[in-house]
Amino acid sequence: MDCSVVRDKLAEYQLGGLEQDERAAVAAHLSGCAACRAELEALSRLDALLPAMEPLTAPAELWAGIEARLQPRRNPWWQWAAQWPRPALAAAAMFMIAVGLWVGLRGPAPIVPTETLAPAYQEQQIVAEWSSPLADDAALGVMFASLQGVETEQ
Amino acid sequence: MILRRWWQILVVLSALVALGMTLVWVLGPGRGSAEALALAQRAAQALETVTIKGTVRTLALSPRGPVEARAEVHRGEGRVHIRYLSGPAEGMEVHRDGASVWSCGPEGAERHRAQIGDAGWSHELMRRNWQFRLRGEASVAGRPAALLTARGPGGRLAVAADRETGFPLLLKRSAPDGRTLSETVWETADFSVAPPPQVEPPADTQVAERSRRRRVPVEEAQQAVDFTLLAPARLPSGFALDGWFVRERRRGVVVEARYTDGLRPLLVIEQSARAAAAEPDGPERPDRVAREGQRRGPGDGPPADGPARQPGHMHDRPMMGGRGMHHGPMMHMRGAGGRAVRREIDGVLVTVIGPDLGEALTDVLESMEPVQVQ
Repeated sequence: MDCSVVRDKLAEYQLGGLEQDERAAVAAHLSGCAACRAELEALSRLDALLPAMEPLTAPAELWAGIEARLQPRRNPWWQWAAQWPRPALAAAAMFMIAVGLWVGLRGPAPIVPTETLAPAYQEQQIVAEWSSPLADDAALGVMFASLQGVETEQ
Repeated sequence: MILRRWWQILVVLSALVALGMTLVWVLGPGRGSAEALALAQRAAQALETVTIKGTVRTLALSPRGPVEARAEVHRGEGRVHIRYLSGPAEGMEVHRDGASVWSCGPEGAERHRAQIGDAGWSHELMRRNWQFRLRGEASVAGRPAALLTARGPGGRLAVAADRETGFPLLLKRSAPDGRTLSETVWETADFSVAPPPQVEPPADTQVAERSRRRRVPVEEAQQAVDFTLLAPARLPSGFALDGWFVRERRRGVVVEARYTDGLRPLLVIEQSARAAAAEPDGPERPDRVAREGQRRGPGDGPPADGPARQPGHMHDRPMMGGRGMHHGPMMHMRGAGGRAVRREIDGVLVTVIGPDLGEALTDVLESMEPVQVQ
């Protein structure tokens, strides 16, 4: 056990708070370490001085000053709701109405088509896209070339 | 005390000014909007005039899901030659010459051909509906490009326009909900090549005059069909009528009313329900669809080509619409990079095809009314 560890335990050693094996280890160290023994003696002197000191009474205005600087404690929202049940119920009802309106006004879920437009109509769509400005020839071309079953115009 | 009050007022005013500036920044026309619009218009022009050859990587949202491909592209003087190197169209070629487009199989056999027709290009709609913004610089295919984005009713668009030529080296379209609809990026680009040669489609597969789409006045469109034309009383925000088109098919005339928000089309296609049911390539024929709808009950399992039918996929019972019109069941379908809804109204099969705008397409179909032709 080195000095720094022993010095951390000196206060407890002096008060008799250490376990038996720790106490024995500290005692063994003290027997061979003059510096730690001096530290223990200093602690003992301080301990002897404390009972001689008179207890001080805090000034009356000290607590008032501390209290004035304290932030007001915030009650959790459920306590507020318990204190003000009607406004809480009204707020909950408004929230439910808002959610209902939001869900209702969103309308039905979008329809996902599973049928595929017939090739002849796909061709009409591709051709119409082709006549638009900034038409993407390569992308339209791959769809056009992949069309199956289009009636050949003869 | 007075100073403290003034200080509070100042803080509130500052917060309001900051909030207003943020709203203007987020919702307003944005930084460099005029310059970005000019760049977008230049990019659209460059698609028709600039000669370029290179390889591209492309992604498209087909009705059956996203498809990816690489392709060699050669374009110039209004012609586009695309040869697909990978993906579902690997080995196929797509040729576009002006308003005509056709695809050829790996052995040179033509698959099919379509007529793009004359396009209505409303600069005013594009400017009014789409908020263009400059987003900075980018490097695409090793070339400096101006990056710009646009947000409009039909979704979003991102363009990287080559600084020198204005050609869009990157084009990305997204749905209003953010899903990527198509994206093409040039990996290599050579602007020093000659324009692609003229390629004629095989002579035996010429597009007949009768099958071409013609832009006509509404009166002529009405005369071409034996039913009363319908038009939507309500349109998605920002869309306006581009024009009426007539397409003569083997079994009757198809009338198409085309609407646009300046960049994306919305089609209302009308044909006689009787003629549509008799078409050989009509897997979506209303009678067949109705039978399938009944057959695929909750206990019958999912359809062969997709997940289980969602509740509300199709209204089961016909109903009487506005002004006493008889409305058939409504169908929802996946289109090429968009959605489609269809129903029969008084013997007319009406199909609305457009961007995925949620309930807006359904609303278009539900608001159909007879066209008052003088």
